[in-house]
Order: sequence, then structure tokens, then C-alpha cells
Amino acid sequence: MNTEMKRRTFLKLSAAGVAAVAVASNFKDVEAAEWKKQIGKSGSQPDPVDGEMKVVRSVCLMCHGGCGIQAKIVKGELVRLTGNPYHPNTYDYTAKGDIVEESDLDAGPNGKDVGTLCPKGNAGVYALYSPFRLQHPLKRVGPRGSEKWKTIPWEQAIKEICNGGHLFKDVPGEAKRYVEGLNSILNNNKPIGPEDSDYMDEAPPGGYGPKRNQFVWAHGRNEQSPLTPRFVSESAGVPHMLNHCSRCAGTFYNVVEDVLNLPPYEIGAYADYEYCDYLISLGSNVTQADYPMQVRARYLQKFGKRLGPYAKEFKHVVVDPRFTNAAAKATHNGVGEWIPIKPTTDAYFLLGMIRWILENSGYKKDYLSIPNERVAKKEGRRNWTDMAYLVSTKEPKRYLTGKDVGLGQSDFVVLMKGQPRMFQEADGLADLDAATTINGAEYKTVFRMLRERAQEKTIEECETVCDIPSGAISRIAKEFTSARHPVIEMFRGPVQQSSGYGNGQALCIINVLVDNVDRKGGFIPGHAAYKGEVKGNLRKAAGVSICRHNSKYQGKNPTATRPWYPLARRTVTPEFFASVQTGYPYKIKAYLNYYNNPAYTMPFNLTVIDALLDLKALPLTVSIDAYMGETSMLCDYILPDTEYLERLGGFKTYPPVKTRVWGLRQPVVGSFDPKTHRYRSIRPDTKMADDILIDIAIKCGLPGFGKDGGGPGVDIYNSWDFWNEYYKHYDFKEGLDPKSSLVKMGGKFENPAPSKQYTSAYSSGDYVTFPGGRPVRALYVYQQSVALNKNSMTGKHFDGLPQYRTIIDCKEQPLDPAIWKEYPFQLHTWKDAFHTQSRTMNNLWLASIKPQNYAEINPADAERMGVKTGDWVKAKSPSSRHTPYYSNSLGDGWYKYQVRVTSRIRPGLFSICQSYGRFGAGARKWYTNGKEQPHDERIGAGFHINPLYMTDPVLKNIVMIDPVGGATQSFGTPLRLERL
Amino acid sequence: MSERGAFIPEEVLEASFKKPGPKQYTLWVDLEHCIGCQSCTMGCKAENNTPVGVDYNRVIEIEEGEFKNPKEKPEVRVYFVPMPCMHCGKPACMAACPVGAITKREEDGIVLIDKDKCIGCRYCAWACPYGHPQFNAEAKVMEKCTLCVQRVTKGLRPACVETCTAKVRFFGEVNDLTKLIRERRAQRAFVGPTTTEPSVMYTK
Repeated sequence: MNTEMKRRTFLKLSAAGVAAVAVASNFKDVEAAEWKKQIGKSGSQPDPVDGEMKVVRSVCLMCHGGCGIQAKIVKGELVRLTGNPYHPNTYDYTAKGDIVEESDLDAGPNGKDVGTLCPKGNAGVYALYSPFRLQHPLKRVGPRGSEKWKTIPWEQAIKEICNGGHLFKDVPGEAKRYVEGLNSILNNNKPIGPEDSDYMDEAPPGGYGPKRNQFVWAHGRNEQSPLTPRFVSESAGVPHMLNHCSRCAGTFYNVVEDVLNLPPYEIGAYADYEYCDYLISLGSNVTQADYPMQVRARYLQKFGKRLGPYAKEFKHVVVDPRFTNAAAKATHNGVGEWIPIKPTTDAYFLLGMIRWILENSGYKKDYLSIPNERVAKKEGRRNWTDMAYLVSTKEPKRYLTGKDVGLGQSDFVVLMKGQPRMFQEADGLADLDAATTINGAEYKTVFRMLRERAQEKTIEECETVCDIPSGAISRIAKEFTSARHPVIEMFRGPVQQSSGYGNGQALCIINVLVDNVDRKGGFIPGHAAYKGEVKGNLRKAAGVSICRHNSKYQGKNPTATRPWYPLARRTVTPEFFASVQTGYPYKIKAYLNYYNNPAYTMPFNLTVIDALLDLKALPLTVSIDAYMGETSMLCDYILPDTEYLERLGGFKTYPPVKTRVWGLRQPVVGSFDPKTHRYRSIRPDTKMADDILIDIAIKCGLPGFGKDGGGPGVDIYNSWDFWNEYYKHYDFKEGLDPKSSLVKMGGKFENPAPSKQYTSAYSSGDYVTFPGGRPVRALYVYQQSVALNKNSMTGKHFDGLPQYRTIIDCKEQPLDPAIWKEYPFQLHTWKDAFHTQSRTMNNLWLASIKPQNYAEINPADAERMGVKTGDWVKAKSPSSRHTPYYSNSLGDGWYKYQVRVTSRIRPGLFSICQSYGRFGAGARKWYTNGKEQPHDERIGAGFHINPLYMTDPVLKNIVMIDPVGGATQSFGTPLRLERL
Repeated sequence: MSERGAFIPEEVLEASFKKPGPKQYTLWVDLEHCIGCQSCTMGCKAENNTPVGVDYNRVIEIEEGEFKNPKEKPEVRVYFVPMPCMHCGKPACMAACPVGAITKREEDGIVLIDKDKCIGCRYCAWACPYGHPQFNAEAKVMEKCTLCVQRVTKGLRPACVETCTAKVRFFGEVNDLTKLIRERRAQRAFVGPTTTEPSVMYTK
């Protein structure tokens, strides 16, 4: 023991030496090399119970869950990250009362109150000191994608990006290429005209907007709001702030906000694990993915199944093509079950359940018959639905209004004993399953329409399509409706599909049918986070978004060249990359990539790679990145960002925490200049992205930053200026005062005690308090806004109700069934608890947990193919083609994979977890100033599926996309497999 | 689970143990609720700064049953089993060490490798029925879970326990934990050979 400790002490001294070097000169090579050495010697970190230790509380960003972190800092070096116990994501302190001051918990470095962190959060230390981090601004010295770089000073980088010029005159083929800089692009307010677009016929009457819209921003993981949207939408003033939502949960938020009638907080709705007794998780990889993973896992395992009031009878049904960790837990004690549904068939499962519920009186009839708030109150309910509202059976299928029937001013009409009444005048329950004819036109209640829709297929047909045991849907529906507190939850599974919006809608409807929306133990929406404000005289974005999200097609031709997405409130970024090479709808001049990696993460990423390499489509490309990511390596300039442990800002969180939260993000290492408050990173030539954007805005003279940028007397020259101002308004007041409890506790938190989370004011049962939201409201099963919009590719109206659909193309046509003969397998994907999409394999701590992934197949398929674990197979899809970036590409669209045979995957699937098979981020050799840079082949281990995705049969160069919600078809691509 | 414990003759094993101390600190892992997230693995790694490839704790996955026909009810089970050092009552690693670098502390039963004495011969890894001790290629010594002895001696809990997201790991004196398990009416599970008297407890 003594010698063990002696060694610790010895190594502690050597580590302290490293820190001293870091402070004295710069941190770059010395730091990386030393850190690598230290990593080889266990116990080498400074003693975490050291007297000189400082604690800094901030917010994690290893994923998007927003958990609080507590950093232990010894002599300027980050030693360890644990959960911030003040943050309810990491610690259960409900019994301890309100947490207002730091002293309310014993949260010191050796305190009794300790927060948890997931594997990713724990590994954040490696991210900070990673040898693969970028150290200096880079400019390419060869053709795009040549991966040859030189370092340039920041002043030169900002100047060239903003002023433009013959920036690459030394690169072969680009001697005469003039590149327009951001300054002239962003200050050009003349309208986009024929010189910018070959598609002026397709522009709306107001045109495509000002020429400054030819600047495109795309982020992957943005937690710098509201600074980043201020830069993009209000400072640059462009209508497209492209995000990753179509590959993620954009449709989930969209459809939940629509059906549950929520403000667009982007928080969705989830199951209240603590108080439900029957939980169906459909396409929700809870306990592995789904942020905040650790909180949801804890609430499910600890409160739902161990300590909760219904722990004994708690039944968890996991509907998923893969036997997820949650399924393993659900079936562990023999109570729960796994329904191995076939990918893409979610609509059949959900509508099948709806059919059973409607035909077997499994729904709450009185609740669904409530026409308005007054009657809801009388019935002891806080919300009501549109189920009894009448809708036209002829297109456009609107709700019948008071005016239509000559009754007066009213948005909706119900039937009371067969007589039309304005909904607000109804004083009792309305007719539910009803129809009527008025002036020769037929109208049906939403309930009747839904019933008829559900009855388009029999439950047996649904079970055949889902390929699950017969009787499963009826049995689950029966158990579900007999439970006291049933709830069905989803995440990306059902929505990340071309029929995603309808799938999500159907799932929300099931919850509506059993009256569990906003209920204790039911389907609960997220809350409003605490917020501040920075004022300023700002631009207003105008014109058409480059990906046509939130944009209605109003062109001269009846149909458009490429799809428009009038109902997608989040951007449809893959469509940007797929249309930019043809300059649709207008040409682009500059692309700014922030903390984003579409060249790796986008399904059918080959299109993204093609677009990024095209000098004509994207004349100037700049990436703000902390690593040499796959996208960054195809850009013109790379500006080295700091890691999340070296940033200012803050973040909300997600249920199951139902009370209000705002975590403060603050640097745990480095320092602020005492005069200017500009951040000085431990790698002195890297900058906070905030500061980079502010520098660009000031250089281009954009409003909202610089002198008086935050209003008269409020100068915003850097990140600190912005956030200090932000934290002075609304829910905050002291700015970034180090003595404030905001800074000391790492945020502002409301205790998630039951008294704060629930209200007993309604006689029918408890509801969540829904802080900051609109508790009393109508829920909309029927989506009129969807039904009134048209598919721009067909000119036909969308449908306001969920439909029995699997994969559809942009014209809403199903796939040609013949395709399955040649390509009988289905592509499937999922995620581990210790990975995010594209920033965890370059964290070697995390990569070491599972050094490579495999293509997982079922034993039945393995037997048929004659393969066993460790064997190699090749796979191709109808669209896959060769790309030199993937070392497993065999040419002709074939890619080789090593298989693992497991019963955790249903038969017929080719299932590969995300995050592996990197070709950037340090996975391969790359050079700056002719010198090889830190890289490690372990980063690139395993396999990636994105080049395999099948493209839209009509559009050819993009994965299939939900024409309503904008999500990509992330599962179910037809594949052919052959043994190698 | 490998049966490599047989590598050392029983009498050698017995002879090499000192009288066990008055206390045995150890872990209890509730397998029913362990979600296999690997937080313990990473919390341990961060706390002990182990090299890539050396982990004092790993979570293994055990798959049982076979599922081939989607029209039948799937009978597949997966268990997640966190594997720290078992801090055995009769540590095979200690018996196998030719230079006496491994000791079992009398005051708390923690089994430790003295890295200044360790010659990196890896006999301990062979001897351990759980294959726990690992070779640190850079430092050329064997390493193993110390039950976060640096924390435990200061009255703190091991890092794996503190960071456990589903709250299924418990730290304490073996008799206290046994009492707790009885109170909860949890059923003991055994994850490998017990000839070395592993102190870490699992419940189903």
C-alpha cells in the first residue's frame, strides 16, 4: 500500500510539472505528448483530494442531455469530472428542499452529495486533453479534399474569409478563381435574381429573398443558443440555420408539438416513468441512447421499477427490431416483453393498436367527447381533444367552422345529439362517433375519421406486415388499456422514417385515447427552461430557406423540381446538400460548418462529400471544429474551436426532470483576460466558436455584436460580454458574477420534488405542473395544417391523419416490391450508451470499451448464409457506389463487413451500431505544413453504414425523406448480402 | 467464465494466505437493474487514469437463448455483469505471484499489487479465475482494481459506485452488505468459480 501511494505521489509531481509547462509557455505539443505518457501510467493524475483543488460546475456536452458536471481542477489541470449534484439530472435531492445556495448540499470535492455521469460524461477529460485536437487555423494548400494544410494566423484567416479574393491562387486549377468573401455576401441586400437562380419560376411571389441568403450555416450540435441563432438569423440575417434534425429528432419535436399543441420548446414528450405501471417503448432505445440517457435510465430502473408506487406490477414492453438493453431489463424478471417488430412497419403496429382500442372500447369516451375548456373543467380535466370536431370529407379537408354552418364565429363545430353547435357553446359532451350532411356536403367527426382510417387494415394484416406473433397487437392493446397508468413512448425509431410524421402522430393519438397526456404517470411534455436575453438592433431574416423547410411551394408550375417542406419546422439539411450542386432553388456562395459532420453522419453521405468537393456549388467553405472531422477535412478553412470544457453558455434539459432547469456552461480550465474578458484557452491558438463568430460579425459590420451590439451602452466584443449580458435578464440577474449562486452552483435549478412536479387541482387525477407551458389546452388528433398543404412533387394534398405506410419516396409512392427479391435484407442501426454519432471514437477512452463494431445478423440468417461470428460478408444497396474514403469499399457498390451472430437482432436485418468506421477525426494520416499530425488507427476501427443507404427512386441523390416532417429514412434500406 | 484457477495447486494456494483481517470491504451489484451502460468502466478509468486497454472494471454481456423465428415469442436473455476485482478471500493472484507483490490488506481485505515489486510476469492474470489483473504494456507492470483504495482510505466510496447511473452498485463491509441483501430479499447470483471466495456479491 505504501509503495502504491508513493508511486502516486511520484507521478503526481510529474503531472504537476506538465501543468507548469502549460502555464509558462504553450500547451500544444508538450501537453499532448506528456498526456499520452501519463495515460500509460495508472494513478498518474494529481491526487483528487489535494488541498489546492478547485471545483468548477458546468454542463456536459458529450451528448445533448444537458447534465451538470463538476470539474476538479488541480493547479490549472482538469483531473476528474463527476456529476454536478445541484443539477437534478445527476442527483436525487428532492427530499432536501429548495436548492438556492451552494451550502444547501454537501457538494464539495469530498462531499457526501455526489452526482452521477454516464460513460461519455466521465470520459470528457480525454476530450479536453486529446492529442487529436486542432491547434491552429488551417488553410488548404492543395485541391479540396487533398488533406494538405498550412497553419495561418487568426488575423489572416478572418481577413481572407471576410474579404475574399484570389484565395487559392497557388492551388493548381484555381489560379484565376475569385472567391467572394462574407463581407460582401452578407451585406448584399439586393434580391436574388436570375443571375443567382435558374429556377425563378419556382420562387414564391415575394421572391427568394436578399442575396445575403447565399450564405449558408450548418451546425451539428449547437448548444450556444441564443448566440449562434443571433449570428445566423439576426446578425447575418439569413432564413436557413441548417441543423442535423432530419437525421435526428426533428420530426419527433414537430409532431409532438402539433398533436399535443405545445409551444416549440423542442423538448418533446416522454413517459413519466416514476408513476406509470404499463410502459411501451417503441423505437426508443431508452437506457442506451435517448438523452439524457443517465437520467432516463435512473428514473426507469430506480423509480419506475424499484422504488416507485407501481414497482411491483410495472410492465415494460419494448417494441424494437433489436433486443435493446432496455428489452434485456424489461424481460429480466419475466414480467416485461420484447416485440421484435420489423423495421419501417411502425404505422401498422400503432394503427393496429388504435383499431383494437376503438373497437373494444379501450378509449376514454367521456374525455374524448369533451368539446371545450368549460366542459373539460366540469369533467375534472385540464385538457380536451378535437375528437368530436367535424371535418370536411372533401379536399381541402378543413374543420367545419361556425361560419360554414351559419351559426356564427367559431373555429370548430360539434354535434350535440345530431345537431351542429359551435364548440364553445356546447355545454355537455358532444357526439363522438358521428357524421352529418350539411348543405349537401358530408362531415365526420375526427373520431369517426380515425376509426375508418384504422379499419382500413385488419389487425391480422398488421401483425403480418410487422412480422410479429399473431395476437400480439390485440394482447398488448388489451393490457395497455386495462392498466391504471399506461403510456407509450417513442424516440427516433418511428419518426426517423419517410412516414415518420404519421407514425409519431399515431403514437401520440394512442396516448390521447387513454387520456394520459400531461398526466402523472402519463405522456408528459417538457418544460420551458429558464432564460435570459440580449437585446440589440437586429436584422430580420427574409426569403426562402435553402432547404425549403417551413416554406410553401407557390411556383408557376403545378409541381416543383425538388421537394419543398412547408410543415417541417426544423431544417431538411440533406436536401440542401442534394440540391446545391444544381443550384436549386438558388446558388450558394459560402458555407459555414459549425461543430458539424454531415460528410460522415448523413445517410447516403456520398452526396454530401460530392457537394463539399464542388467548387462551383460551394465556392467558399469554412469549418469551425475542434478536430479534423470528415466534413472539416473537405473544407477550405478550418478554425480550431475549443472543447465544451472551454466554453461559456448554458443548456436546458429534458424530462423525466419535470421542473425548471438551466445549467450554466463555463470554462473549467484556461482563463479570461482580466481587462477584455476574452477567453484564453490552454491551447493558445484555439478560440471559442463564440469569439470566432463575433470576430467575423464585427469584421463584416453585422448588427448585434461589437460596439453597442447588445443595445445602447452594451458592447459585445466576445463570448463573455454576450453571456454576462444574457445572464442579467428575465430569470437571471447577476450576470457572470463569480460570487453568484448561478456561477457557484453551475446553473439555476428547481427542486424536482413531487409537490413542484404535479398538481392535484383536477378531480379526475393529478397532472404535471408543466412549468412555463400552456397547461390548459386542446389536443389535436387531426392535423388540419398538414391536410391543407400540398406535396410539391405531386400537387396533391397531404393527409391529416396517420396512414398505413412503410417506406415512401418524395411522391409518397411505396417502394417497388420487386426490389426485395434482389435485396432481401434490411439495414438497421442503433447506438451504444458510450457513443454519440461522431465525436466519441476519437476519444480513445470511449473507443476502448468496444474497440470495433460488427455487422450484426440473426442466427437464422447466419445459418442460411453459412457464416459465423468473425466471418466477412459484403453488402450493397440499390444505390451504394464506390468511394475512396471508405477502406471497406470493394468497388461496384459493395462494402465488406465482419459479422457478429446474435439473437439480439431479428432475422432479416443487417444491423450496425453508429459511430464506427471513421475516416477523419484523426483516423488516418494527415499533414500540416508538410508534417504528419497526431492520428491513431483505433479511431477508424469498425464499420459505417451511411454509404449503404438507398436513395429516393425519384430524386436519386438523396436518402428518402418524410415529405411532412423532413426526417430521413434511417432504417430498412434493402440490402443484398453475400459471403466473402 | 474460465476455470483457470486450477493452475495453482490447492496446498500452495492455502499456504500463501495470511490470516484474513477483521473486515472485508467489497461491492454488491444488483444485476436485475444494471443496464450495461459502462459508466462504472469509464468512471473507474477517469479516477484511476488507466491506460487505453487496461480497465479495472468492465461490464460483460452474457447472451442466452436463441431467437430465430419472429412468429414465435422470443426467448432470449441478456445479462450485464460488471466485473471489478473480486477482492477474494483466498486470492489466487496472490498465491501465484512469484515475488510477493500482491497483498491482501488486513484492515479492509483489499487486494493490491505493489507495482514497485511487480515484475510483469502475468502469472496473476493466469491464476485469477476471472482473468482480472491486466498488463500495462507501457509501465511493464500488472494492474488491477484497487477498490479505489485512495478514496476508501479517506472515507469516500469507489468511483464506480458513485457514478453508477442506475444506482445498482453498493459499497460497504461484506457483512453489512449481506444484511442489506437479506433485507431486500434479493437472490444471490454467482458469476464464476467460487474456490477463491470472491467477496464481490451479485444479486439476480
